[in-house]
Amino acid sequence: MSEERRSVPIKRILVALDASPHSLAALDAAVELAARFQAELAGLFVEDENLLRLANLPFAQEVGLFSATRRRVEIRELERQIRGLGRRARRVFIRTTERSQVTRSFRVVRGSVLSEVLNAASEADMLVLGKAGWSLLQRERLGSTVRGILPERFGMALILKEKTCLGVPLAVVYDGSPAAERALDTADTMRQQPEDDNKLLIVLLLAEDEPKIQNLKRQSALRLEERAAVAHYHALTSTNVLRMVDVLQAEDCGMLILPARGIALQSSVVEQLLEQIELPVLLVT
Amino acid sequence: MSTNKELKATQLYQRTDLDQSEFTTTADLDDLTEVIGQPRAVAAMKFGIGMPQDGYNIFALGPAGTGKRQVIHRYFATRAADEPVPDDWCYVNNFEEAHKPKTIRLPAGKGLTFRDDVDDLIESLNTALSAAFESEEYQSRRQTITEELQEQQSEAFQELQEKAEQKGIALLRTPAGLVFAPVKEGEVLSPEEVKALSEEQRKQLEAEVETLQGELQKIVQQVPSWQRETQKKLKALNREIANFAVGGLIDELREKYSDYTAIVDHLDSVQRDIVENARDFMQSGEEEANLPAMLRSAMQDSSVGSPLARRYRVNLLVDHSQSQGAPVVYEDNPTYQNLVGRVEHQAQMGALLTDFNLIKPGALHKANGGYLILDARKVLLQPYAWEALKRTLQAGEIRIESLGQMLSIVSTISLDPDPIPLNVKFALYGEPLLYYLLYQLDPDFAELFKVEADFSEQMDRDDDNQQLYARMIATLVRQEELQPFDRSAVARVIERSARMVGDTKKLSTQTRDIADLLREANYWAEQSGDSTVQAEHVQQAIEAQIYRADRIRERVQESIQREIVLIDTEGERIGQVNGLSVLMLGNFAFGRPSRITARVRLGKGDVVDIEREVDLGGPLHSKGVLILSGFLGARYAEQQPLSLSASLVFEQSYGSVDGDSASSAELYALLSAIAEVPIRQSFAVTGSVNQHGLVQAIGGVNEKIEGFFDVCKKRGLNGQQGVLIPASNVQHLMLRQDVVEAVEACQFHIYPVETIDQGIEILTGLPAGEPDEAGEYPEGSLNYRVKQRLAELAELRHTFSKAGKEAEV
Repeated sequence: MSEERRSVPIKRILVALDASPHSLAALDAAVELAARFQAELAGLFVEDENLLRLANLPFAQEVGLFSATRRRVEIRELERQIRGLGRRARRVFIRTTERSQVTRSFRVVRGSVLSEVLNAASEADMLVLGKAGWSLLQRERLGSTVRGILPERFGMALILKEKTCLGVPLAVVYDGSPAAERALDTADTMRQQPEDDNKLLIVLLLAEDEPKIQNLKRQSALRLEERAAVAHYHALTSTNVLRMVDVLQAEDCGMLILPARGIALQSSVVEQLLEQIELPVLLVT
Repeated sequence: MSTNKELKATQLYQRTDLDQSEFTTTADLDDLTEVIGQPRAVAAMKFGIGMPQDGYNIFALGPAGTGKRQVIHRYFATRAADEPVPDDWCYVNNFEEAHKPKTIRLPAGKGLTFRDDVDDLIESLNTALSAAFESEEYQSRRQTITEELQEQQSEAFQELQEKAEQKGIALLRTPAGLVFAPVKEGEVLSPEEVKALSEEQRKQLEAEVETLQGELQKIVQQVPSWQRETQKKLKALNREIANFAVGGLIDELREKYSDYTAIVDHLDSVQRDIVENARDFMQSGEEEANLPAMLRSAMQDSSVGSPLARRYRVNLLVDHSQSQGAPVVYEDNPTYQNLVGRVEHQAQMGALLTDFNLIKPGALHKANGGYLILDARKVLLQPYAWEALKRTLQAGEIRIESLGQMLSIVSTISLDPDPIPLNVKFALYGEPLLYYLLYQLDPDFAELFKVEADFSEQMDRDDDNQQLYARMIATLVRQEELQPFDRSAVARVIERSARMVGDTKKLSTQTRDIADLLREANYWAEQSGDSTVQAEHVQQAIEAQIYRADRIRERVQESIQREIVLIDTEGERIGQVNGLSVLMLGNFAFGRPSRITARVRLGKGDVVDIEREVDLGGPLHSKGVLILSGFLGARYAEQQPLSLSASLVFEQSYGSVDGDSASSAELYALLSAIAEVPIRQSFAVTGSVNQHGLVQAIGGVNEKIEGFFDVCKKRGLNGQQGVLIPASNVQHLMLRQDVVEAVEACQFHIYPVETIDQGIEILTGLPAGEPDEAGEYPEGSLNYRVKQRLAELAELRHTFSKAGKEAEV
């Protein structure tokens, strides 16, 4: 237990739900983690103020997604629909969590989705959310909420795509930044918790040139050595950072831990990575 | 004039003389291959088999136990052995109309190979299809197609969204659709902010939103057609992959069976169907795997198999791969379904389902191209079987129709399989009554069963036939695996056969009874430890048969001995004679003496039959009694009215009486009563009489003689007793050995009589008397006395009527 000072506490997990397929994957993962860390699980549904405001616009018309018919947006109807979504999210949350023995709570709030989620996340150790909401636009694979939180300070955020679940081995990006240090610690926490003997850790070293990479490798090796972890190292430079997708695939990774604002990673690159990686990604700030 | 010669012992029993053939036991005799005693039936069989035209089916009629079925089977089998093996028949799925399975006709034995080949094909199909659909190539091409759709949609939306963004408008998702709204820093403008815009700005904004909405609408409208396009592409891909996966496999079969167009056509449709549905099979297999184990096992019943197997399998209905020659089929239980076949149903999760795999053949399918034997009685007893049989014969094709469906008892899905052309030679067999009833009542019958094979129950007993009969016995002995019968035993069996038909000149053809006797004689021989069956064993078997059946006879005899039933066997009585009747119980007949009495008085010339008055006498008995009046009037009262009233009765008879075999006895009693001449009670009499006084043949003569003999023997034979029988019945005598011995020792007598006069002389000891030219009988003769008495009665009646009084008696 000499590493306790470095282990990352996960006592409260927040899962943001909008009843979309992505958020269901997020819910499953959140329940799994809550059970694993015996953490409290809080569900959150935000009634989007933005949408409600829409109904007040005199010229706003809704185009049916299936019928392609145009109709006037009625505030009461829209409210009812949004409340319906919230009820659905609550039902799913209860049904999914009742099988596991976690302490749980569910809350519906009204406001701007992003600020409400960030607000709630500030009280939690980890935020879990789907990669996108109800968006139709597949090309844009990141939802607006995910994009919105990236520049913020949110602790840890686990992002899941529909039909994915948590797996091993873990991959972690290391660039020497404080966030990367925390990512390494988190990886260690996540790695130690499941009662299996998969000690393998895929470390993706990220730096501008070879000497710096060697340096990073030494640093990380030192940290990992204390924890008896077996690590595979891969070197990436900021120019070929997108190669990461192939490496993850080749190593058959189950989850990626990514420092959200590292030295070498721009926000736009993180966004790009999130779009392309199919695995669950745990962002660490 | 009568000679009154009694019969000699040798005339009472016709022994069998087997001296011509040289055998010691039946082991020395050859098997009999031909049918004996049935020349007419055999000729009909040969004719029926030889006639190729429709309707020349055979109906074998004859009493039970004459071996009709064996004879038919033998003739059919002999003929069938030289005939070609008929074709195999398969049912296969009809992919266009699933409820009408198609037939495929193949040369004998090909059906089995075809079915096995298809089974192999199905097995390979499973692996080939799953390999094809799990291949990298398929998966990535499939993904490409689905992604193409997504990209197409995304691109369209993206473009629109970007266009909107440039104008400060965002595309927002509501729970039910999409909305364009002006945004500032990611937030929708509030109504106040909108109001703050200048009139021109607002109008422009509204116009822009309007345009964007129009474009969005167009995109959304296009989505279904893009999806359809994708589905089409996916289907084409599935088809291409499936075709590639199965094409080679099916080509192999197509080449192997290139000579059979039906198979090639079927394989074509199989390939088309697989290609159309391959992906569905794979998916349904996956779906089933996800079901709970219990449900899965309920759906995958072993007899049903996988959906793929069910759909393409070959149902080999008629398989002649092991057959030699044409089939000869005997259907033991000719129910409707056992004849024309049936479509079975399978209960699957509570519903009754069926398909062509569940078509089962009937006897008609199995016998097609060959011969079918049925028991007419059984067919007629089975509901709808007879009608179905006729319909099939008339139509010349076997059509499987569900009875439940036909009668609307069950309404579940059923099939209407293609009919199969029928070519079969039929033989029905049954009792003659059935044949005649069918002929009379069923207008189709004569059309369909033109050949009548009439089996006789008896055959001539001459030397040649006796030799053949001995060989038939030998054949039966070997078939039944009995010990050999020696010459005496064979002779005794032949004699018994003659007694069975009650005729010295005939033998029984009821082989069933003969076989019974052989088995039973064999049993007694084994009981006494003999290695060959001898005459004494046959005799023992006969006696045991009689003993098992004669409880009632014993009771009758006993009541006579104890004088509960009054029968005199000595002394003389006026107007009383011993008549003889026969009782038949099951297969056992025995004779029973009855006392017949007559009383006469003055009257108007009627003979009253008391039996008839109380409705115990049948019409034949009444007829016999009326003949008596005719005889009396004509012979004795030509010139005067017959002025007597006579009553006749069977004493102590409490059941119905029929037949005219007692009419001679009644006449003797009447003559005795009129002439007041006593009759010797040591005699019993049988025989019918006609209006001229001739005594005519009757049935059951042997049993009748034996019945009276038994009564006399119990009381002690006094050398006077005997029986009068019609002379024409002498040829039927096959009497029991003890009767023959008693006659030989002059303890018992059997007199053949031709006329009443002969009989009355024996019974009364008086001459009957011949009329002279004037028609007068010599004085002292019996006829004289009769005539005299009748004249007296006439005179008396005349006196009465003259005095104006009507005689009342």
